[in-house]
Amino acid sequence: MKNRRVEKSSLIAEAIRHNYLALAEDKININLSGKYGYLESAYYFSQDLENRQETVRPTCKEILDAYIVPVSLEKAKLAGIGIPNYYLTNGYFEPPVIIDPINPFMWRSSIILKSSRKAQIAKSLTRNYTYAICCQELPPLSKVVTFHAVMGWSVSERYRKIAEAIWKIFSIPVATVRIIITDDDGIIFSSISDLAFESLNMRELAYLQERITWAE
Amino acid sequence: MKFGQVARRQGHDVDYLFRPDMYKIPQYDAIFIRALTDPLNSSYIAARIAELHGVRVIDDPASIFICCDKVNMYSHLQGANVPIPDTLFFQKSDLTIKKGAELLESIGSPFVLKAPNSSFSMYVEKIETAEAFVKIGHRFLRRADRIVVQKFIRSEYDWRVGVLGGEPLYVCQYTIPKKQWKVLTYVENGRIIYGPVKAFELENANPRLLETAVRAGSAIGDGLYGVDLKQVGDDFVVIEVNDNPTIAANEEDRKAPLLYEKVVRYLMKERG
Ligand SMILES: Nc1ncnc2c1ncn2[C@@H]1O[C@H](COP(=O)(O)OP(=O)(O)OP(=O)(O)O)[C@@H](O)[C@H]1O
Repeated sequence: MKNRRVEKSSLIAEAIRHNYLALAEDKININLSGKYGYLESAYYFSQDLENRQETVRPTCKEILDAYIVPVSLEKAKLAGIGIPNYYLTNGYFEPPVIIDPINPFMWRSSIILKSSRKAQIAKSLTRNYTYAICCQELPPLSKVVTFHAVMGWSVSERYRKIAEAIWKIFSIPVATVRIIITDDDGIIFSSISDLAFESLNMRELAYLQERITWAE
Repeated sequence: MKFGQVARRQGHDVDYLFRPDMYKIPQYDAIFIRALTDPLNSSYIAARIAELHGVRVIDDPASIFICCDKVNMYSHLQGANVPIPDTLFFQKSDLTIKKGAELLESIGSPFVLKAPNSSFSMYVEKIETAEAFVKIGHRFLRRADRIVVQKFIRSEYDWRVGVLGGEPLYVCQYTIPKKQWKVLTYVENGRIIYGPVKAFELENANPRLLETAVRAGSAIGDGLYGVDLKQVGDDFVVIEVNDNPTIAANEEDRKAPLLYEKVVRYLMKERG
């Protein structure tokens, strides 16, 4: 156990030393930071490479496509991935829904199952009806689940197919993926968000080690 | 809105869409966004959904995310050799008194500090001391992981050239109010001071001004931009390229009677 911890911290130290920049099998730069928020360091890291005309995954546009929930849903749908019904609203919604705020100040999503506090929730998540919210309808008896996706792979076999599809469509190498599992065990895509490289587990780090070499 | 009237006169149908109508975007031939654009606002979603569905759109997503981030915007201008004031980018580890003092020496005193996602001149400050560089720098870094340092260029007005699809569309001057240095300035109790807008005919504008503005627009993309420039001797430097530029009746359009027609024709790909 102790050894594994040492191994993990040295792998992470190595990643930091390389600014999380690695090369994949196809020699394309991969930004493995996992925290790609708009205007954050890793976003700028990709931007710098792009502005030097180097190829990198993800690009700034790919980051925005993945992190802006309604855009990610639309892109997934066009690529043939199952998504829930969703709508943008200034306040009105019908539970059960997953709500993602669309504004520069809030990221955290909420799952609203019952109608009782609908009005207050709408008011607070739209910041007094100033901003939009994105609502994903939850099918009856469904479950909301998140998993770690690393370069199209997941520790759990059950999620590998969707992890692979998401990597192909969105080019986000290190991500938390939110999915909805329907009552007939179907998987539908719901969102992509941060997964700090530092919080990858040993199996995920080992998988990455096999797929990449650190860039100089 | 004038755009609607003009488009109808040209034989097009026009609808106004609001946020809950976004799912209708794929049904249209073209979308013209008039809203505060930012990648984290719903305007970006409209732009990107339009693009994903092959619907022509002003502003296109790339123009929004390049122009809304001054680091990206200036990097594009530098990459295309468009004249801009000396410009450097910094991150948290650079925010030291020593660095501030060096900059006041090298780039000159005062210099201008900008948060990358400033708009309405809200996060643009003149820096005269190393301490102010550190203090204001930290404040701006709460909004983004980088900040922009730029040489201060003195002037009495900003030129604003509207550029559409690589061609000049309109020209005006935004006057800087007396005792201020920005076109828009916030003073106590939230009041905004701004100078008058003076329009010029494209035919009478300095060709170098227009040429520099067009190059700046092309460094970003093929859409609609409001390029801000300052005159330095006989030359012009670009201060900013804005996506979604303001087009107000009797101001920007005053000496550009074909402005609305041109935007509609561009959207409907009727230019030739
Ligand atoms: N390098 C500079 N030297 C002198 N003045 C500057 C400089 N950069 C910006 N300014 C002035 O500061 C104001 C705001 O600058 P800028 O356009 O970069 O920021 P902004 O927040 O995007 O503003 P806006 O949305 O009003 O365009 C303008 O009036 C401009 O003339």
